[in-house]
Amino acid sequence: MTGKFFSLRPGRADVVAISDEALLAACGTGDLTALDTLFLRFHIDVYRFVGRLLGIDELARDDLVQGTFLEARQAARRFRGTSSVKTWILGIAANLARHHLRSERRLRDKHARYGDGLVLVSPRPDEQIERRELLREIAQALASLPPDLQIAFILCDLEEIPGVEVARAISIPQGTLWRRLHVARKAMRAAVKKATQ
Amino acid sequence: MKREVCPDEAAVSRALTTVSDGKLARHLRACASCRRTAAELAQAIAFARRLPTNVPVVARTEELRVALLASAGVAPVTAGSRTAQRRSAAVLAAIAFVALLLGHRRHERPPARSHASISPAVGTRYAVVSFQPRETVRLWEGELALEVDPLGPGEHFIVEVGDGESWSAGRSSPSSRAGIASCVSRSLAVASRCGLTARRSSFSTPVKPGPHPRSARKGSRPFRRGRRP
Repeated sequence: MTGKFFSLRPGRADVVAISDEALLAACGTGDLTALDTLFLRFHIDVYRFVGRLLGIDELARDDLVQGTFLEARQAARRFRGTSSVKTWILGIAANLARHHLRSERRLRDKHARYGDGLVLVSPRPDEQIERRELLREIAQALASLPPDLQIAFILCDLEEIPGVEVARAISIPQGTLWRRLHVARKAMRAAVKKATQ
Repeated sequence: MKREVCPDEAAVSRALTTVSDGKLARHLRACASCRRTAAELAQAIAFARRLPTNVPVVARTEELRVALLASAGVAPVTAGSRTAQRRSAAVLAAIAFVALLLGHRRHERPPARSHASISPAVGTRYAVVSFQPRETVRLWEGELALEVDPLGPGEHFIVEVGDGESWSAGRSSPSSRAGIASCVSRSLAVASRCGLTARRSSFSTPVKPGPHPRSARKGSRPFRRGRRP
């Protein structure tokens, strides 16, 4: 008997070959396989981005990553292709993180008003050993920035996404993004100076 | 040699990310101070990139993935987010409100066309208070020379000169030819393609019907529309 067997389900190679935009479009129709693939492609980027935003604990980080992909699925039909899918997803993550940080800050203020200051999460001992003074200063400087400035700095300078795309992804004018980025950079520069003095 | 003014620090900062214009690049090559600023900012970025990043372990990723798919399976894809739906509803409500307003105003708006030429005498005080199909001119004082075109079905031309005193001209039915009077309170005159004079003095009954001399003489519409006081 001669012939070929065709797989009825797309193989791994087929999934890899599908473009990000096509995957997102499939997500918008409710395709769970497409969502799964999208998650596998971009979850590390989202996780890294959210993890860089200081003030977000581990549980909240997982929730934000999950929430980002759920929101991306819901909003997939509104993707216009003005930026890459990765930037677009990071934009969603940025918006969710900003909301989260704001509500956290409100909660912290509320607790502080009643005298119950939140206990700051300190780095683990092994990290403390590894981390040098300079990085600690920079981390503190980054943490002390308002969420909007943190997001601008992380997306543009750490994730190295073009500013035009970032501005579109988080729905702000380019001028606003450059201003935020500059303020954040100045804070980072001051932290470096302080550590090296 | 004229010293070049240093650009804003924000411009130097922006040049780190975007392609800077030739002028700024030349300045950075020439100006040690700006070059140092750019180098410090770049160094700060480079250090920040060394900050440890959180990458999930495989087991945690798998847990997240399962949880995500379970959540997505429960929640179907809607046409848009709740915010977008709320926004659409607000836009639709606004459109409906504007349409209602326009429709209402259009309903209230009188047609601009007038069937009459009004020539006021010097010192006359009058006002056109409504337009067709019930065009009404209110005369307080003085004298108006009027020429009224043939009116259509249901159209009226009324001059109010005092309490309960009116001039009225019009046709009440399509079968009627011009010249059938319909009176609001007291029939004083019939006007259809003919000249009329309406006059109101201070305390006397003011209406004096009859063709306007010039109108009667020429048999056309010689009068310009009068100005409102």
